[in-house]
Amino acid sequence: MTEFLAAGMVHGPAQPNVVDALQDEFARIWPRASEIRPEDRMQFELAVVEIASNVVQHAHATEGTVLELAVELEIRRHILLARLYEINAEPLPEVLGDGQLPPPEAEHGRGLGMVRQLVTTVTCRRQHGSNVWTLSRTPGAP
Amino acid sequence: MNFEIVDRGGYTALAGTGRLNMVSAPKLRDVVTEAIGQGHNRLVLDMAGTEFIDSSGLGALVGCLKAARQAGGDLRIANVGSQVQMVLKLTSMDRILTPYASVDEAFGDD
Repeated sequence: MTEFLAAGMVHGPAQPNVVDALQDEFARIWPRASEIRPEDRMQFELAVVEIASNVVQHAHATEGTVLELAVELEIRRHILLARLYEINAEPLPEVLGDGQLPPPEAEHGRGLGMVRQLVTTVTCRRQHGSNVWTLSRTPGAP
Repeated sequence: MNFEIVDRGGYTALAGTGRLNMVSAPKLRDVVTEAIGQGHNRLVLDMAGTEFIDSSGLGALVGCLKAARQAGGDLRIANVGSQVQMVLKLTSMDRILTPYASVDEAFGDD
């Protein structure tokens, strides 16, 4: 593995304020990874926030449970990595799409298309009752 | 995100400070809707203090732009930082929301 720079963690009910908590966590860890270019930081953080927001807005809890979101962030010199766990979530349909963005005048529907353009890899798999998103960005990637 | 609203004569300036994300996007819509309801349909959003925008924020901007135009006015943006600039370009939103270098320039030509 490449040199470790910083790590972060957020966990809470999948409600809007968890997105602010996630961005507070980014603000806390970025100073420890100052060698990562601002462009890479901006694009990676935006992608992670888009997925977290998508979970809050669209995920559904399985019957009798409460939907939670946990995010693990791992910043290394040659890879930026995030895992987002939709805990107690219903399984997702095929949601990744083809990365196309809607026209500029659209008010909705940009999030996942943006994510596809902002990161190097994005996957979503089912694991132990959670949907797990894994995002990676290689610093310096277009 | 907090908003300050200043009537500048020929237009109204709104300054947003903080992150324009899914938490604050509804607030922007509310502030702009209220301003338009009070007759302020020429609006400049001063984004000097907007450190972050995501697709929720973009959606709110588009909605506010449409509302201002439907009221016979316009919404323009000024003083965008590097993160906002990156997102506008990524989404081609800069085609319908051209950033102005300053609040004064936004309605400087009309």
